[in-house]
Amino acid sequence: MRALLKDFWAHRDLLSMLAKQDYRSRYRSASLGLAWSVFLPLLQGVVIAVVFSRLTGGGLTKVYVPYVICGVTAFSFLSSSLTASSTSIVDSAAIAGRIYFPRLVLPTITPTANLPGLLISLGMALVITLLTGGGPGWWVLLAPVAVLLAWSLAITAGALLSMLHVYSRDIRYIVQAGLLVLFYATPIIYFLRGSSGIRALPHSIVPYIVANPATGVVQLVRLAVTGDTAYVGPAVAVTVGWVVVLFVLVLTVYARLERVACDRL
Amino acid sequence: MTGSENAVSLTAVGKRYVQTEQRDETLLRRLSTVGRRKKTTELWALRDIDLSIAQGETIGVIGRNGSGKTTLLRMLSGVSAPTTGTVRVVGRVAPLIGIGVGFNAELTGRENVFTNGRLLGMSEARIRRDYDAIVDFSEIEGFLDTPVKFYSSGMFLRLAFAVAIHTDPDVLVLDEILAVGDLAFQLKCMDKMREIQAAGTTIIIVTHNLHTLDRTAPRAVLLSRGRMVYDGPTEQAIGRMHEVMQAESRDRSSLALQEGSGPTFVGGAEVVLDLVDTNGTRQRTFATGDDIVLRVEASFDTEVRGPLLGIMLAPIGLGSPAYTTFTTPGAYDGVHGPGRPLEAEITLDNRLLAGGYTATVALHDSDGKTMVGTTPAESFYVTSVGVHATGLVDLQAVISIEGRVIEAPQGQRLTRG
Repeated sequence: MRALLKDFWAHRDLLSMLAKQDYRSRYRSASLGLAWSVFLPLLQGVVIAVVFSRLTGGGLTKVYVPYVICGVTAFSFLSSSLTASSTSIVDSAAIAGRIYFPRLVLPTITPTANLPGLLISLGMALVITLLTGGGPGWWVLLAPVAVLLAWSLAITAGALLSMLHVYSRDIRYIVQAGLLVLFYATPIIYFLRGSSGIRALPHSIVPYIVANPATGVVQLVRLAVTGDTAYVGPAVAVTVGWVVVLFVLVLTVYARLERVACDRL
Repeated sequence: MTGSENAVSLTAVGKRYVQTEQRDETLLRRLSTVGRRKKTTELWALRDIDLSIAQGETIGVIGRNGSGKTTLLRMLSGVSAPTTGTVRVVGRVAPLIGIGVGFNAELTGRENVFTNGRLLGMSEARIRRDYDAIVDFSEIEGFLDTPVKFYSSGMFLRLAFAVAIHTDPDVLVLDEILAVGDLAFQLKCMDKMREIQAAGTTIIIVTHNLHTLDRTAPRAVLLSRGRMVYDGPTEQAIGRMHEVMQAESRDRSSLALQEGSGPTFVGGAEVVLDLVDTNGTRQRTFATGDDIVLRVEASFDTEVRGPLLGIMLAPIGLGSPAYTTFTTPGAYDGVHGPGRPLEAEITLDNRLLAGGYTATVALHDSDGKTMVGTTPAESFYVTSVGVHATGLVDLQAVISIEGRVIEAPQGQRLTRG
């Protein structure tokens, strides 16, 4: 397993090249380029915030808009990264079946290429938070940690899923279905902890939501952007736990299958 | 270059593919068969392969489709691990498998040069250093900032090949890519190959296009159904490949032909054909320019007066024959029948170019209307070492420019540059 990591490290420049290539080729033919990847979650966040605040009686918009935008930004990073990452080995069968380089590079490409978009989105979210009168204070310093956590979760889950995907092509759809459910199992549109005039989730459900690995990412991002501290500690601890377990699983699986799986491509 | 150490050694290598029932990739089917014994088929794509390749050697790997070439290649490049035995490669392997693999259509030529070079194992610093050489070689200077999707297929191939051939590995694996672009570019590639050979790079050429092989690789191994059936001089390997191919096709059509290669009966004569060289030795491989002798023996059930002899040579895989001829009616008036066999010898000045061919001799009665006997199509192989031409027939061009002879037959280049 150490050899696996060493090999991966030796190919880090390949990763950065492929990530740059992924990033550039994605936005090259769109005239607005990167702006799209920032604008879409932002729009989604605003729409959700407006619709839900109306539905739930209104009056929350000032807090609610940045709240939802943070959630949507963090979650859409996870979901778009994972969608591409989990099919990455099969999708690059043409290269992977012919040239050897650490297979771990493949699922790492898209989450890495998505990082600039995430950073800019977070900046926008911060601006909106400040405009609506909120602010994270010193918590903003945790932003890099939040990004790192999001990235680690995306690549470890993506790496495991992409190897499973070689053996079962259903993974693609399972991931899509899973993400759909996960969106509602993550505190994106609702609050974990209530405060004045804000209704929150029933207490009994909260542990299940916190056990979801995406919750830690979303809450940490939210802390760094809006200063909201609800359940950040336990949620982040759970996510870190997930990442560690996934990481060990990934190393075990890749050490065994890396040079066998390609026979099925 | 010490040459003492092998660049590649394979010891008792085998690769087994296990296939579970066809649609095992859908989850539902998997779940529904959990616990039950699944039908699996095992296929040994390669078995008992022992192979050593010295540093700086150029070797060909030949065999029909499905003989295990690709599997061998994947193991050499480290993509796939062997099921049994060990594969040891000293130094860096660069596989040139499929030109343009890993190219991104949205990106410019320049960007693709960098990622592809890195994918093929070059360091970024090295690519930067060799960038001009690569661009030079590809002959597409003006289009490097254009996305590759706007390239013509020729430009694309040239650029991809240029990157591939500049990766400068210890072991270069070439898969079916020697024929890229127009003739001028092909010649350039050949020159570059020779340069790489001279620099001491070990080269493994995997191909079923035998055309170019005997010009580049002195040694070749022949794979058949996952086993290595020959390892030695390329010409012989090609000859053996021919025998194997013939044997396999005979297996398939053994119902049609009685007893394998045995003679066929059509209308009363049994005709046997042997291919020999001018010394009378049986051969399957002939060089362009050598004589091919067809030795024919026929025995008869019925009497035939003044039979005609017809000869046909046809390239394997092409519909039309390369050469046919008949003896003139009346030119021979011998009488044959039971107890009075016929012997004939046909000497051909072999002007055919490298490739696989079949020879068939037929016996007709004196008016040429009814065939009394024919031989099975005997296949043979032509090699064109040193002949500076491709195609079907060596027409022995003499090329003079400005009154000076630049090219003449026998492969000698009179002047150059």
